[in-house]
Amino acid sequence: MIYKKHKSLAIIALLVFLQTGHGKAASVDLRDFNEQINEIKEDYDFSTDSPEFQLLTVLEAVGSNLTKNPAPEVVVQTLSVIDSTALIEAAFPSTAKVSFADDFLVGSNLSVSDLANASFFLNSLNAKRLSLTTEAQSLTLNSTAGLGSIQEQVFNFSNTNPAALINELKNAGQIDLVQLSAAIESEANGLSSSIQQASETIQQQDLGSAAEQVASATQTISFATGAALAAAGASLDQAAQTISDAIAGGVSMDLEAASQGLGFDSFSEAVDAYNEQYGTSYTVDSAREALGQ
Amino acid sequence: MKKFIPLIISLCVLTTFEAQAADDWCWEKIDYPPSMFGKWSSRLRNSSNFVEKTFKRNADTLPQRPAEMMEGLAYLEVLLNEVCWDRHGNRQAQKKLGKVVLDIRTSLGLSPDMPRTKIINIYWSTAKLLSLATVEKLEVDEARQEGIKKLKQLKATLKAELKEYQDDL
Repeated sequence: MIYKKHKSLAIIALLVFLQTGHGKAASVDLRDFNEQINEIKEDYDFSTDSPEFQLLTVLEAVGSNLTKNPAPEVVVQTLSVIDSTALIEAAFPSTAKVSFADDFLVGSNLSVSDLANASFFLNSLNAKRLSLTTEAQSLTLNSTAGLGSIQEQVFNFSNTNPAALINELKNAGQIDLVQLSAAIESEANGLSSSIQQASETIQQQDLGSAAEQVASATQTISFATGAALAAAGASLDQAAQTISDAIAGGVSMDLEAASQGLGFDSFSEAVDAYNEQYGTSYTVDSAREALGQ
Repeated sequence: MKKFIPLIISLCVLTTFEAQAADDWCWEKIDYPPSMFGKWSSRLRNSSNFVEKTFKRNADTLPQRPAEMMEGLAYLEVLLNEVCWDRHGNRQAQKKLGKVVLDIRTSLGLSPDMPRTKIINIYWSTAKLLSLATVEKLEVDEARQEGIKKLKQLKATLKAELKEYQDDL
């Protein structure tokens, strides 16, 4: 009787245990990672002063430093070190140079809501960079599990002075494209009225004064907003690079991994399955056509 | 005691599925940017194709198309929403795709809790802004480019393994 009672309680305890998701034995499996390292070492002979060699060195050190069952805080710190390798990646040759002209906002016809949304995004991106750098810097001071020296190596390889970078990011200020655009619009109105005045002066045959009026008006626009526009442009250059790094570094691969986890060979196959499920008769060509490509 | 066991088991099973159904309903009502979809276009079809084209077929040349990259992120949010529409659909797919979407948000400094409408509009507006950029294509040695790609994959593998472990904890 007692045995039966205990058996029942054991079944209930097991159910509760499984229900709360404690049934898995978690461990870090680096077999795939180590295989990839060996392949890279076999196929490539990176020169020791190249950013490629530096990134490989850091990733290998991070892998060697990991145990099978690291503590949660060690995982968070390790992910932080991995994220900071973006500083090394910044030295990789780029396949594109994205830049914004000094007057990129003039006549752009972006709505106030577009400008507010984009400003929010740029500021969020800057805040993220600041928090990542601050975290990385604190690792060099307080890290357990040997991650401090690896983090230090990331800073050395990338010639980064974390304190200076943090200072720079803190002093960058908030980007407000709405205000900037309003300033441009208001100055453009001023410019238009100055040119109108100049035109009247020209009609009065006073060319010297007309030239002075036009020069003064155009100077107003370049001095008043030029610095802010240049700062926003630089932030956008940086943003484009950050977005590109974040995406190239994982999204395509994550999507692929997600599809394979679902039993498909590729993301396109998973998408096809969804299209089929929803009864669409879509082909690649018709989609291209629909998307105007 | 014995006669209560079936009842307790049923309650456990029921609460598990009930809680899961409430948690997993990931669909949200979205106000789309006006130029994102045509009047008759299928959101699932268009979003999945845009995502496929941007992040798969043209993945290697993404840095040359920053505006498209942002649009791709907006369509990825839509794709997740469309996959979520089917309450009884593939939960694993919803969860996996949802994780990718949230990881991207976090890596870009955006809140995972932000409503999907807001995120889509932020991506869409930033894409419009990025379309004002001048993009100059630069030549990079193909073999070197391939090596860099392998290293980025290596980094992604390590991150993915750690995140999976983190989720399992």
